[in-house]
Amino acid sequence: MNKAQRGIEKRQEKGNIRGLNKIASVLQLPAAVIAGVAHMEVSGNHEVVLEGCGGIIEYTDDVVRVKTGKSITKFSGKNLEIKCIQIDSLIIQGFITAIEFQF
Amino acid sequence: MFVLNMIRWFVGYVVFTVEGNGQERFVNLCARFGYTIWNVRRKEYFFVSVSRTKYRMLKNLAKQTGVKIRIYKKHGLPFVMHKFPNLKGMLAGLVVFIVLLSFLSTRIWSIQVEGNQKLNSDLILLTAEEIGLKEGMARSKLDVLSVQNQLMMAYPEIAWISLNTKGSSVTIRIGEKEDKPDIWNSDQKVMNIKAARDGQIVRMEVTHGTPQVKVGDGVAEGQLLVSGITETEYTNLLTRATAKIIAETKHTYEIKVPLLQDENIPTGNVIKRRALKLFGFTVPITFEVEPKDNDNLTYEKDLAIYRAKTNDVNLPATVYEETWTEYQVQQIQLTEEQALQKAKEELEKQQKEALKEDDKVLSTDTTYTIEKGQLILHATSIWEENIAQESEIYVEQS
Repeated sequence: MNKAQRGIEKRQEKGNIRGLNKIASVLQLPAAVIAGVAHMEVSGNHEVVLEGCGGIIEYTDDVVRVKTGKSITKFSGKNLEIKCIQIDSLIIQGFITAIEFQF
Repeated sequence: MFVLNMIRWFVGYVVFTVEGNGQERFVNLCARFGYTIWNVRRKEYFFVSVSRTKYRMLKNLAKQTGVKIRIYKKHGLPFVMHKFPNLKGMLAGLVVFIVLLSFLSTRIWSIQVEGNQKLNSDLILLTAEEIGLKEGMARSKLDVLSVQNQLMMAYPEIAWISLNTKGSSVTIRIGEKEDKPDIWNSDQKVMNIKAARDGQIVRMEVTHGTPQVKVGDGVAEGQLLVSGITETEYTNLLTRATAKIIAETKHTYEIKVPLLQDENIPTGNVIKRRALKLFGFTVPITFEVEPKDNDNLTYEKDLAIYRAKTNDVNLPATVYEETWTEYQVQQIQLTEEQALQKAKEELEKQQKEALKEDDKVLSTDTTYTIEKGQLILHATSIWEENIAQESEIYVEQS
């Protein structure tokens, strides 16, 4: 697959997601249901339940980087711990100080 | 979370370390292949927990990702069981325990009596046992209404009763009847006061009614002393006459004491029988047979009950102790003095029984004769007693 083809596919995917997002907003449904984007539930700053994650990229005491669709979500903090991990969801516990989205 | 941890403990789980490059990849693959892992901690290595059965399957994944996995700790029931070689015995014990526990919880093991002040708890418990409420009986067979009714019938002093069952314990709550307060003339009767016996009046305390006699008068039995009808200038008032008429009266007694008497003399032999009632079953502790009366020997039984208690709650363990005192029947020839002494004791006893609140014995003259093998005591007592006796006047209401 050459660069041009990849570019076309990326544009098509982006277009699809945008389209699905639009449908979700018209139907007043959560985007995670229709568009398949990651869904995150944050309890205070000590627990995050993340659904729709594509795998752990980095895991240390201070940083957890997780693949979420086309982006990477970075959780910074102290004593971070992965409490449970399943096919597409995980629970992070610890003292979370920042959540960043990297593209 | 507690329930989840408990399930994990029952199933058994392994904490293992992941060493080498690609630890994150290993964790990702575990998740992707559907192996649920938890408590992923990053120290010098990755510390990961997984269920006991899935640990073996992770070895292939470890090979693929080039990491080394090693068991750090084993937790849970299967590992605990593994330590014990007599697993079957333990399991059997567990099953027996569960069966026994569920069986015992269907029975009644503790019976309490509450709220009684005059009635004896032990007596109530014994009656309840006769009726059918006893330790060790099935809870389902307890007929609360029937026991309540029968206990009420057995003890007229009980005003109300309630049987409360809580788990394996039954509480008999009772309320005792209280005596009705004495309200003067609550039934509005018209009464005269008459003389209960012959005598000479010494003192009079008339609170209601018209006196018909005065101090010093001699009266005969049945004579009107105080009238319930008070005559006024215009009308007759009907009332309930109340009075204390204290008179000197004469009482005669004749007491016969045979000189040859059968008397029970303690031989000094005391037989103690003990039985332990545990969980509804009675087990004799001593092997003495219950003694029976015969021509020469008689026995008197005394029962003591010792109940095991904790925090005033009866436990299903009771010791019954029967004390049988042995008496020998002997014929005794009383001397004249002994027979007289006995007769005087009997006289005193009879007088004590007959004496009422305001009565007292002023003097007693005694003489005795011995006839046909018995001493006959003749006594004449002068009493000072209340001879007032109410006699109703039936008035027709118009």
